[in-house]
Amino acid sequence: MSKKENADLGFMKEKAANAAAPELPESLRPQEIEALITGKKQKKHGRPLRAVVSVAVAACVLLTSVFVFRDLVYAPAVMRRNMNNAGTAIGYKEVGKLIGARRRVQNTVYFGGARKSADDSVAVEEAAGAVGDGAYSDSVTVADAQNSAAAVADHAETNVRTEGVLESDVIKTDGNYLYLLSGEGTELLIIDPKGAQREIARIDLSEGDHYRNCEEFYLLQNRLVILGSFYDAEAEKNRTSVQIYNITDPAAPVQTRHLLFDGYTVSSRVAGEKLMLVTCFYPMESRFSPTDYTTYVPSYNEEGKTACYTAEENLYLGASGTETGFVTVSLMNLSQTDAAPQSVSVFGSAGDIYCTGDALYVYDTVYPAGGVFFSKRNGSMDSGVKTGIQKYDVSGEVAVCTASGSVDGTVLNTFALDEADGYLRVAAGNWNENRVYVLDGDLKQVGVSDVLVEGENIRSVRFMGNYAYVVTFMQTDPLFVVDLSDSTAPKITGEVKLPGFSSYLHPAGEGMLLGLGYGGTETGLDGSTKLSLFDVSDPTAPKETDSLVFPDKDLNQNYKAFVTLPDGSFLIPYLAYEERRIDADEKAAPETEPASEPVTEEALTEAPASLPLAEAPEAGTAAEPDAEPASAVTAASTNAPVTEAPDPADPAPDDAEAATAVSESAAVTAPPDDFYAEEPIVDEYVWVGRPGVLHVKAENGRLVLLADLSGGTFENRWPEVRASFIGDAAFAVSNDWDSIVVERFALGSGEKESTATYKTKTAENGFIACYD
Amino acid sequence: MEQSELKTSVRAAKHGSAQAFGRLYEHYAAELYRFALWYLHNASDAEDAVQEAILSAWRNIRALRKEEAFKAWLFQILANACKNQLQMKSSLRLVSLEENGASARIAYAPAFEDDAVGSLLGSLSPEDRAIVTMAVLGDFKSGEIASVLGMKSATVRSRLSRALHALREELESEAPALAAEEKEKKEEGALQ
Repeated sequence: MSKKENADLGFMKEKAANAAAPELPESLRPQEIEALITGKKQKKHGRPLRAVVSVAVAACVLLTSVFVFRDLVYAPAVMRRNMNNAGTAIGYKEVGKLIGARRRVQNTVYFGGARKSADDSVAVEEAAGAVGDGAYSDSVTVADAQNSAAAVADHAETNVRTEGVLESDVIKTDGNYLYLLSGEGTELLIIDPKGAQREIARIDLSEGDHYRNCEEFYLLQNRLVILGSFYDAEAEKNRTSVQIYNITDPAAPVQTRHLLFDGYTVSSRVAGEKLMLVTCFYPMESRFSPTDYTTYVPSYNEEGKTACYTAEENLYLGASGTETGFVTVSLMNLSQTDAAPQSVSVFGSAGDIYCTGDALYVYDTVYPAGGVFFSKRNGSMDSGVKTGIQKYDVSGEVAVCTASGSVDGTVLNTFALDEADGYLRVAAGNWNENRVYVLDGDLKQVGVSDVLVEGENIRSVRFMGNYAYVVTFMQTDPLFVVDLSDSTAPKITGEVKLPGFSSYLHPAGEGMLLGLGYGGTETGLDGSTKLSLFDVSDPTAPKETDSLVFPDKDLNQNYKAFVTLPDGSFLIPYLAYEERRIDADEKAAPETEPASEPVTEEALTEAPASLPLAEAPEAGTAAEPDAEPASAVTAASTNAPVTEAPDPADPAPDDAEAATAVSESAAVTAPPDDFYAEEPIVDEYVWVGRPGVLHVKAENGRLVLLADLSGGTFENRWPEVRASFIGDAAFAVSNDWDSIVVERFALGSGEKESTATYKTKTAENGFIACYD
Repeated sequence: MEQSELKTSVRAAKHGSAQAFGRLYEHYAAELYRFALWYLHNASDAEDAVQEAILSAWRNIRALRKEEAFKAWLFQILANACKNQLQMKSSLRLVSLEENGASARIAYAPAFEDDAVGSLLGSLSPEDRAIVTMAVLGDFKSGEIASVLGMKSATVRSRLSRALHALREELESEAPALAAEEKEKKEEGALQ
């Protein structure tokens, strides 16, 4: 869309925003709508049948529903076949009836406040005594192999929660190449980062209209496992795609498998050769039929094969009595090319997971009946909210749910759970109170710490040995040390209060912790980011020995973005930004951003002049002549047969359209773009972003900034910056929605060696933002 | 409602809190209704569409993964509900919607009091109206509009830009014209 058109849109939006809000008709007033959804009222202009339901009939339904509801919560004995901690195993038919009944309950009384028990997991939990058969003893001993690999690795490995348990990410390296997923998950690029940064291959993941919204991937020996999550409008369900590519020849990746699982991706892990995938599936009401199990039992299907539904013996009632959706834990052997995934589905929902390799914990927030109470002060929930935890044994071929339990409050993230010596330690809480809980193998609480602090939320947690380190924040950041050596009596041993807070804690050698977070003053945050070094060797007196504050740098707070080098130093990517005034002359000058050229050129590395990333003048002089990005173009061009393989060979229909749009707009010399790609520049300022990587070392209680690797700049763009390294070369990778920029630096000297930009496909199709 | 509270409300609604869902609805009610009014250009159809969308959102909120995407998700559901409403109507009445659209401007004028753009939309074809509504009120991207309406995104783009341009021209020229009209009316009244 051209600037003028954008301006028209802006004009119209402004007009609309200025117009007075329309007066709502009576039937659309909030209280009426609330009555409608709680079943207290029928839709006014509904289908005729619904409208004539009398009050008496409604009351009957209500009563029956209450009756059914009770039965559902306290699972009827006839259904009880195979009791374990996942609840009862249930057949397809029963599941259908159950979902149907639960939906009726939901649509009539349940949401109206008739739900009695806040934590309905308790009833089933208590009833569930026996532990799963635990027939799987051939545990995966992944730690050894991975640890030794990590010890000698001369390239970046994704920072993970549990050493030896791999996690997916958007950037990976095998020591030779960089593997990068484009910002909108449309393409996976394989780059040779040496010399001119030649593009080796590019996998098109957009597949025309069937957009998979690939989110992250695994890089295993000669294989890529790419995970995506999307809404399948045709089947009316969320789906998770798992694509496996053989990259024995990285220049020619070959897809070997493509599976689709029902439900959205909660999370995944890889241990050894085993993929553990956790998905959450809710059958759409419009599709649901209690007599047709294919409408409600989760399934997976492999391209060209018929769908496989979770086997009846692997379906469980779960702890909740009201759920109409399933959490599915699928295990799949990645070393065999035809191994079928083994799925277990349990009624419930999932927020995130924590995996030790042999045990997988799935947790989710459980809300009390009748809604939650909002604290006026900070909008958080105050009471009755719990976190339900399910434990699965994933050492065998099929996951087995072995225990289920809960703690008060919410759990921040996967770092807030930790298994040691058969106990699960959990830092959880709400704004009122935060504690560290210790649960046994059956997830029964054996110990709990005192309240760490009132009126603050947990911001980061790290367990190391017998200690838990918990950061909370309201105006300042206390770091608490909790001694867990006596499981039945965890005790708070010390704390240190600082301005700002850490959002991620990383071990930094003996008795030291590195905190990555935000800076502040005594009264709150001040917008800066901060690195803190804590000395926790004395658990009674933790102290901050050093800190680095960056007023204008946005350090990437994602733990996966944190990179550890073999010498124990760290790479931390950031995006620095500032507002820059534009002179009138500059404004009048023609736009630097070029019209997108025909599709064939998109696959090629482009010259810097045509890039969003403009070379800073000083960086230009520092760069070696033969490492100039211009040569990247030549190099890529000479390798055209390789690089252009995925794109031009099969241009998706939308590409063709885009190309047409390009030529049309090019004729009127307006830059083509999406509606909102370019904000009309109305003021005289632009945001200038400068991606970079900090090379930091913790030494003798000090934080040493070894180098600040930074070069190019972006205008009005906020790419996600990630770091990586191979040998002596460090990389700053800026990932934006339509391009990836890779800058290479020498680790020793900190000098910038080269830059390359790779245009990537944007996602035109699909409801990415909403349903993925 | 603050951003954090919105997010928490979505979370709670996902877990079955009708109260939280009601609060969310209250927050977006006016925007939703205006969207439907623009799209359908008929107050009673708009009412139906919003009800339908809200019920559907409530029943399916479990399928929403990203809490922050709630608003966009809600508007997509509403866009679909509006589309269905329009289809149902056209099959029932067998009246050309183009004509209907033109008359709607007069018939449902009260709904567009103080809403110049909304009332002008009556002069557009139903498709163009849908496209403009989604782009202006729903913040939809061309690809998303295309996928709701089953059109090509290039078509959506060109139709949108044409419609927006026409609307703007009319809005800018209408302002003085309307004033003149009113003046005339007043004078007439004075004469009588």
